[in-house]
Amino acid sequence: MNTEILVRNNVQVKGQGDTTMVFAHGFGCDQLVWREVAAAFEEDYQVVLFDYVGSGKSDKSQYSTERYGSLHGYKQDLLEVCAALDLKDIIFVGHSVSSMIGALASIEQPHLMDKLIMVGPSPHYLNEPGYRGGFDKEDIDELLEMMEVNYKEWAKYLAPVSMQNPERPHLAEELEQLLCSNDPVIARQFAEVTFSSDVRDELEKVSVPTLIMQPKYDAIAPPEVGEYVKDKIPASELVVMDAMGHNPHISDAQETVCLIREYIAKH
Amino acid sequence: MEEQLNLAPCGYLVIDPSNCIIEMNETLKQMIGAEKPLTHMHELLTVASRAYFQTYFAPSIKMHGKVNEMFLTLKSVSGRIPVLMNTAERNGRYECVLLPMTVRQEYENELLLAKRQAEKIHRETAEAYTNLQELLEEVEGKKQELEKLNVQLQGLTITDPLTGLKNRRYLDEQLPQLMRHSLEAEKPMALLVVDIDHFKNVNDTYGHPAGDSVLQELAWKLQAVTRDQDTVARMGGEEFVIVLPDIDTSGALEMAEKIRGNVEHGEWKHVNITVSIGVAAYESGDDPASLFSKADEALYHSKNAGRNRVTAHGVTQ
Repeated sequence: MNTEILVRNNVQVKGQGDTTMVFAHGFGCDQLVWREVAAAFEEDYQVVLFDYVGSGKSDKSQYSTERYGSLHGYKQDLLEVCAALDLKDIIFVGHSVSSMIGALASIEQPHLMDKLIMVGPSPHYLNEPGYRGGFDKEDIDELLEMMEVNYKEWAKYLAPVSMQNPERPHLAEELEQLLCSNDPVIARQFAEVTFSSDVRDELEKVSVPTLIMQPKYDAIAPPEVGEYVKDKIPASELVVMDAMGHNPHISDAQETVCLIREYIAKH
Repeated sequence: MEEQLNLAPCGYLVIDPSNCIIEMNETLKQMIGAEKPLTHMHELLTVASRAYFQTYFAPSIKMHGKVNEMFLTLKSVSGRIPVLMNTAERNGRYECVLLPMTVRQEYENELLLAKRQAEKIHRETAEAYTNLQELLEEVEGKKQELEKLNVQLQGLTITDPLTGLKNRRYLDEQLPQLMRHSLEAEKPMALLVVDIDHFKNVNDTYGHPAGDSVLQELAWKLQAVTRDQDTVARMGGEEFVIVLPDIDTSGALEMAEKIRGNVEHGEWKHVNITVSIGVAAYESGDDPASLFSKADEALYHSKNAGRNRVTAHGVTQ
């Protein structure tokens, strides 16, 4: 077991079961977004959570613009975490950009995943003639700016340690300071990499059975994009959720859990 | 909604956890100027704000129960309105206050631009510094290379390439110093001029390679006999000079005799030779030229007296 990787990506292994579920977060957040959903599977599965390098409590000193200048660097993180734990035939659950990171990983190592579950996926965010990704260039610039202006506030959300260590508030403060001073650049780069990614031509190479969970009113991945992904990935099915918004795993953990369970039971 | 809140000088909005609008105050309605009632938070926001809101609002409010100072952009009939939003969760609903900040945002944008500019300058400065640092290292490296070359070159200019001994240039430079040192320290000093007898015959009979070999062998023999502090130089052709510090005439004669005997009875690769030697002791009033000419005079005597012998200047044989 490669403990260096486990520390680097702040890997947490919980639960029990013969099958392993790996949950991967999207840009600008960390593994804590999976808390509720992941907990529901701990009874029947080994559950693996991790932070991409640059996010959450990962070792940020390992971040480099070269490696993480494209989704492949993040894919590498995922593959290395799985290799460090010697995982195969996993059920992979990826939110947002992690859906595509998962897809890329499954193409590279077809036996790694037994099932690929995508929550609010988008292979390409920009509108183009004949493709509606949901964003124009100006929208993405505005979004990046908004992240920058709002940075300090959501850094606090990125430091929810304050909730876990109420008896050591200084720790949270320190971490918050660390985040506030270090992260805007990484967060912005992750967002830039996400919003400039184009994985459309890769989708048809995905051979793993895939579930696409499309929330309603998803401002980041519009319904057409969910349809597009379903049309491109051969063994895929699309389910439109009752949940609204881009974070159904947080806002509607219950429904998210139920849909994943149903899909696993069926296949 | 009570009138005070309805007309308060800020937007007030209540949404449910799926971000559907439950109620909004008159001020907010006026602000956005929508004709029909809005039902979902999304309808209030620009594309980018919607994406930002969805990404960060839900997780934040879920974890902290409140969101402070979230910067968003509202859509309105008259254009975009930047607002700051504070939200608190109460009884399962999210109560939001929205404060327009059009003027403030212009100011903040300027700040942001200035910050970016500063960051750019900082980055460029750092890069320039790194480049400079690299250049400096390069220059330092070149300098050391040059110094090394200089030392080599210096070595080349004062060395006789055939024998590896010091050359005439070196001796011309060093002799005045050695004499001055001798004078100041009140110690004797002597000069030997060593010349190979009939060297022309060696070259003519055995060829120049053999002649060169003889010169090299003699050089080794001279160095083997002399002390560390002595200077052995090849002046050109078959003539060698040895400077002997701390030695008076009798000591110098002794050394010269030792050399002569060593040459005569030593082993030679191609051909045996003999040398004639002139000895001159340094006396006050001597300059390099006079010292040399005294030694040359003595050498002349050695040659005239039949070669293969040692003569000291001013000492009657």
